Amino acid sequence: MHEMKRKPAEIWAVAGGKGGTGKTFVISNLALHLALQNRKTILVDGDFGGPNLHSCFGVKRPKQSLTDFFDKKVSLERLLIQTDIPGLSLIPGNMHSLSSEGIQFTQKVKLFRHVRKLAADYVLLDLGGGTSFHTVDTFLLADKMLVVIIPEVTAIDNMYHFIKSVLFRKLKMLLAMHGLKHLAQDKWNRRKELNIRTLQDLIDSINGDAPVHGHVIREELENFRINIVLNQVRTGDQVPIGVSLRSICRKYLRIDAAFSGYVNYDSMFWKAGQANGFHKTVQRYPQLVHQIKDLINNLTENEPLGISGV
Amino acid sequence: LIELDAAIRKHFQTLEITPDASLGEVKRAYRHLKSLYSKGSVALTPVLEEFGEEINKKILEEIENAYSELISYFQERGEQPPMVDSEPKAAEPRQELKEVTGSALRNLRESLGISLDEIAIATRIGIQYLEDMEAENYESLPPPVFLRGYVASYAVYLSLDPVKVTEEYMRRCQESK
Repeated sequence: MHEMKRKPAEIWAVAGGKGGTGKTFVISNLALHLALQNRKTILVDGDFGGPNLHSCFGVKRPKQSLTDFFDKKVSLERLLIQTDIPGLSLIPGNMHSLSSEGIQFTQKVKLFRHVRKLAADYVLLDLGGGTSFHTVDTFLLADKMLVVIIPEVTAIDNMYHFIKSVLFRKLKMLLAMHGLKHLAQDKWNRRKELNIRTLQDLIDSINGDAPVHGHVIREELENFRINIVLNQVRTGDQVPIGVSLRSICRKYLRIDAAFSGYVNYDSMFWKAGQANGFHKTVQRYPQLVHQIKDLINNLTENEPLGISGV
Repeated sequence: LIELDAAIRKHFQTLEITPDASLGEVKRAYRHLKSLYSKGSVALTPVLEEFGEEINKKILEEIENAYSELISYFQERGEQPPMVDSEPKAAEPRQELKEVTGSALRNLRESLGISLDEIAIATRIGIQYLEDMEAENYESLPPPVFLRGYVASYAVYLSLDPVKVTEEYMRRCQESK
């Protein structure tokens, strides 16, 4: 069957600011339900924030991890661990595996090249918290970028900070592509004298020096999509916060943010899942199943939640 | 399909809805955005601290402007003679009532956050008539030949199907006599 050409795997990455917003929870559920929908899925633990992740999916503590891919050139196929759920396998990460400075950008590009060739429909990458260059770079390589957020002001503050880091990095990449590599950094360093306060001011300033490129870059950023997932929703009136976040990203950061879905808060699920395995536990939480399915649907069909649904 | 001009498109974009949105959707979007950027929220606090009030004020002005422009855009279209076949998608009725009664109409209107004054200005129907329509004070209402048009304009403004609403409302009016 090697001759059969399959579509390269689509890579979804989850990252974003603060720890404890439930990134691992959301991405594990996404992976589980994609697999249950007969989509071959590989969950890559690029964070190792959830050391119980493999036990949740009924697999033993792995012996090899991504570190072996980077250091010992072990193939990704050999790292794959089949879970007890058909169509779902894991690639274990290692401490700071993708966010550590030890792994160069070129190595990450190589990782993504190999990941895409894996025999899967979806590869879900858990990048954990933090806004390091390395996390941001890896995030930008994904086909779909997801941020998981909870309705709390510090977490939201962290999310904006993370998105701005991503945008700044993206902007630098775009400028490099257009041969204006040092312009952004130079302007940013002189931001006081140039009266640049925001990323928009920066883009406006670049626009002044290089209008043609400025226009192209602005368009690219306006089409730059971040998918917002609202987690730990406790009351119905918190759902519109997702729409508000989308609006603020659009109006203040001028990117194409999408509100992809929300998940209710349930403290019991995580505990039960770790004790009994995800697959069994999830069936006792029909609302969660429903919300994850909606989320998958919105993400795969590109039909995020709109403002008129509020 | 009617080609929308760029300015109208921009207004829909400002309210973060697609150009095929109904009047009800325009109102809901406006209410959400206005409340978000004027009253503040857990989502806005961090950016306000960073960007300052000035940008926020500009955003609010844009929202207000887009809303009033879209309202007149819908009014202009509401006053067009009903052409069921060529009716653009945006004018498609999106709201529905189980039963067309005066109080059901009032409840829907209030749930959409629309005042009688607003309808009176938009439809050029006297506010007293609108009140009587909702209260089903049939004696005070104008003769059916006028009333029919009033009910239709009112229904269009609430994104209801004007034909259906008028029919049912008039039948109810007849039956009460």
